[in-house]
Amino acid sequence: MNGQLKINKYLLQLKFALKSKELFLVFKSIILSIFLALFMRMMSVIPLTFSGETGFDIFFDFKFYSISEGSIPFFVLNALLMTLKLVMLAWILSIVLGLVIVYLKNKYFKFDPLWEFFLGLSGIHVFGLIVSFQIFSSNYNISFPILVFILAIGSGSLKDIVNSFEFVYKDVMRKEYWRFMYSQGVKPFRIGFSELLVRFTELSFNKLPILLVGSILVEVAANKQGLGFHLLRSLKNLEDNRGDLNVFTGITFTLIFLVLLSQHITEYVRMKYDPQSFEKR
Amino acid sequence: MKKKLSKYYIWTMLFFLLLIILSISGTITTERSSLKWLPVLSGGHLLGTDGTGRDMAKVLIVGVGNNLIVSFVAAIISLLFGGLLGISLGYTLPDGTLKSVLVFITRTIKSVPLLIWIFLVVFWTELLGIYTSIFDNEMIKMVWVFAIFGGIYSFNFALLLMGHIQKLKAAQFIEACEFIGLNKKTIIFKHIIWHHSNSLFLSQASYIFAQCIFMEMTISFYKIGYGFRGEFSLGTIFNRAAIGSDSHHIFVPLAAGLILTTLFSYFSQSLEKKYQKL
Repeated sequence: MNGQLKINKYLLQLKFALKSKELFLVFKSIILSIFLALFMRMMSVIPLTFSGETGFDIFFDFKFYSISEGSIPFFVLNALLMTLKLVMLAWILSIVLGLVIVYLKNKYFKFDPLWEFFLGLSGIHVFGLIVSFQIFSSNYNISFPILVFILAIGSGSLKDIVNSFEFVYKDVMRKEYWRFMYSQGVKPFRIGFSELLVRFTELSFNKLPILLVGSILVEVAANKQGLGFHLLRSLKNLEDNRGDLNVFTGITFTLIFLVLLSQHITEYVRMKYDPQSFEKR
Repeated sequence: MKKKLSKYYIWTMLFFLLLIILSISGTITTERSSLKWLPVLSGGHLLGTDGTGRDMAKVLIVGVGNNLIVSFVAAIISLLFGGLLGISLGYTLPDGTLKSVLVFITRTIKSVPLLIWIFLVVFWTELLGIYTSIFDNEMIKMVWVFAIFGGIYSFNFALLLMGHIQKLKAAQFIEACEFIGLNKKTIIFKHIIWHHSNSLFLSQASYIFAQCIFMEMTISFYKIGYGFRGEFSLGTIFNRAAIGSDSHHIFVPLAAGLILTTLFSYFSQSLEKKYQKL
């Protein structure tokens, strides 16, 4: 009886927990990622079946094969750590660089062409930046900090973040409360700090899915063994060796889950902290 | 659309059309010679020669032409299918289960990054190539890959168009059209698409061109090896220069790729600002 009560208590707690918005978003991301990963697994099995390489039964074969690098979950986890390290560092760097450039642009506006030139360079795609760097420096082993820097600025990433931050900064400065406080001698940044923080946070989270996708190319071009690198390798191996199907499923699930989760976090931050959302509520 | 912008857009498109025609017609011939890896402006070759002694300018025209052909196919499929779906979701379909299911599917497909889709599409195509000989022709294979890419991107476009139509609905524009007795066909084709969404269509077409050029260069890159191999394209020209002995020659395809993607991105952003103002 006591055991039954405990189970009921846990079930009630789970039910309550899933009602919270945060957990529901994670749960939703997991379900959708499983669905999409299985869809992609099926789409990969069909051509293999048609080509006579194997039967459709391998779709249901989810045994964790051991691969040279260890078991599949650990293998995917290692790749995930590599990708996350790259993406999170690039994310932080892009925010810091964005804030610094917005500050410099406003403080030293005479050098505007210089800032624009620098931002224009960031318009080159990460893939193009890495390959060009490798070829012009004749260095095919790019160091990790340079990879992080390229991912943080490439594909117009820095330009976007600077433009967004600048737009928000100017928007806040236009507001009447800001002008009033400024006329009273309060420092400009102190006045709009809370509003700027909220809107900068929201904009920063928008960058996460973009950086995750960019990391796939960075890893492929620079041979860094993250999720993107292994996704491509498992696809290549699938053409010869069906054993990589579970690695492929694991990586697609993880990648899609990360992208979906970062999208949901962005949406959550926007809903929770955006002043306009408060008005709607 | 601003007159100046539309003039530039039309002239640029005509120039690219000329490149496509030159590429398809075979007017430009690329013969090999013994003058390998000549630098720019030497030996009577404007952009030098490649590793097999071919004139780089001619190689580039044919290569860019091939890139534009596959991008054009992707853009057409995306605009047609996405336009149809967007109008159905935004205007013709009533609120209900069917619409909810379609919106859910569209959002789910959109949530997976395009790069993952394109990797999978080329992989499926490679596997299909094992038992069908149709993909032995590289051009057919790449047109097929980019047609599917266009099909996948059409879901993004459909959602954008749906949002745009909802904005028009909120401004009571569509209601006013219906009130004065216009039929649905006129409202869709003349008022929604032609007058109020032309910038959106052109902006998305430019965006797809930019994406396709970049995608082609990415999947043809020798470390990925899923794109063009024998035919000329920006990706293969870049590869040959990168693998070849003289790496200075990657400047030409790299610059061509950058100019093209920057140009299309510029058009896309300018036109996007136009439709957002509407």
